Amino acid sequence: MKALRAIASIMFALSAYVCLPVILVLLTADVSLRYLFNAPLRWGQELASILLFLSVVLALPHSWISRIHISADFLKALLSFRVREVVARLTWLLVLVMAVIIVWQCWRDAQFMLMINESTPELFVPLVYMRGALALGAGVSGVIALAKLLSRTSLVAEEEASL
Amino acid sequence: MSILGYLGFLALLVLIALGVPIGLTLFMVGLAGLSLVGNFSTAMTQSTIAFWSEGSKFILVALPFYILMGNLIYHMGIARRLFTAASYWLGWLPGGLGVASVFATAGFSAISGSSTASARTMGAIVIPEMRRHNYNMRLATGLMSSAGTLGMLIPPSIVLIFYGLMTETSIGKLFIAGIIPGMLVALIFSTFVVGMALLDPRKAGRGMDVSAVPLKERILSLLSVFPVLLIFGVIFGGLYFGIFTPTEGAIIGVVAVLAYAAATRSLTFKAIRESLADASLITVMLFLIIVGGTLFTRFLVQTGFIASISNFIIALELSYVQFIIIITILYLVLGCLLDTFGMMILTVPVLFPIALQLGIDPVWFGIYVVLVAEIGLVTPPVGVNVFVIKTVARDVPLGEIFRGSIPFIIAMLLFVALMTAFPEIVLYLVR
Repeated sequence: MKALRAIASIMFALSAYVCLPVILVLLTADVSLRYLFNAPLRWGQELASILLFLSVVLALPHSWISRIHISADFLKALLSFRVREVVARLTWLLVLVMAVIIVWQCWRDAQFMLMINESTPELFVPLVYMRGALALGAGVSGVIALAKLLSRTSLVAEEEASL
Repeated sequence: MSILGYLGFLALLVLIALGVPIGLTLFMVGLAGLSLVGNFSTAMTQSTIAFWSEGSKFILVALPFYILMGNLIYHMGIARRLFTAASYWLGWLPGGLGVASVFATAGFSAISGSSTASARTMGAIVIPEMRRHNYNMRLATGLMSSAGTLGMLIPPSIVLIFYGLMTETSIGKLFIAGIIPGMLVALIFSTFVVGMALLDPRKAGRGMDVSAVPLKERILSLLSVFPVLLIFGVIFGGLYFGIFTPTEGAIIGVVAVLAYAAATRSLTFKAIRESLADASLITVMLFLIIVGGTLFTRFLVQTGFIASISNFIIALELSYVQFIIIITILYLVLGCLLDTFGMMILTVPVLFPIALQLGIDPVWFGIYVVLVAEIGLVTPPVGVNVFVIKTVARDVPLGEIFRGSIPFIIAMLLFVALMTAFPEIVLYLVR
């Protein structure tokens, strides 16, 4: 699990400390060039969108570890420890299933995209790279979910200890 | 076919009630539903398409940067200066400190897109000050929990961006439309505080002796909040006059805040790092809800669920006012169970088409939905803002904070009635 956390942290660092600041610099330049010299970066918005997509998918594994995803917990206090444990494991199982489906579909998409050489309209970035990034984010999330499911320690106890 | 939609909706509610994350639930139920309506292969294709099509929308870039702007402001100590200035100029009123805290929170909301951030930041500053002046803690904590909700209404608002993305309503227009309602809600809150202080002066403790503050200091306090006014003015002037888009506004806002921070040396590297990390994580959380919501809505549309609900409600031949009353009650109930985003993703896809059929303006409906969803932030048992305020007033029981919020919930409902009777309150600036 330590190695997985480290991988997720590196991916998250790329998302938060590389992708977001680069978007900021890029769009600042784009806006400045547009209003000051009437010469915007033609590909600025497309690159910003690509970087945002990368930022989101790279942060996905860390988002599961840090439990940022909102949930309704009004019933939680009423549930027994055992039921809460089942729900915690069900949640990680759903993360795993989602991850497997996304990775599998990315593989299917990639074959098709390579065949027709699908790319973005301005920068001609092959879309297969985006599916690769999505598969990476989903794949690492899936492995984290699997590790959690195989863990013998109680997930609820672990969750409570981290609060 | 629509029975599948009902079953899907039921499965969604059960999983959410059990505490499975909302975005994940929407994604999985949507995917399973699409598999049942069509086939598994098509449903799988939809999953990656939804990720790419939603994740590469340029307007989505606005989301992390408005969050980042709010986070940076939070670390800069501007909130305290806002409160000081507001208390110097409004402290003479009955319940003056309360009135000052409402307007300081409104000011903070104008540069922060999050209600929780507004409640957390302003609560930490205002509540100890109110305690020092012997304010009734029920009033103080209830007021700050409720005033925090201004963060959602006064632009830039993350929830308005979320609504705009869901319904393809102009985010620029939503931002502009939020200004008057935000200021009016602040005004109604203040009127309530003054009224409570007049009815029972003990609640408002010792008044502030504003006359002891020299005029020079009072004027200087106004100058110290000038950057906030400038940033707000630049962003909304730009949006109002069509000079830039909401996304560009977010970028310009962050650059302006960073420039100001550099000039005043009010931000540390650690604070910037934390702000970036927070912006990235909240964006992922919202993004998963958007992607999951897209899949789930596609499933509901394919089953005919949305059409059947719409037809049912339209067949009731409800007037505009009756429709608003019914959905206000629906939101008040949902607000007791779900957070704002959960509530919106479950209701807006169904209610938005009905609202359009009833001739309700999409911008007006957006402001209305955000306002009634805000009420859920201060109603038990999941009133997020109440829990946030509890962290800065640990000795005040939760029940006491919830009770303290009741007058301000009434104030918000009063405003809902007002904007229903006079829609121009919302639409004046966008027409």
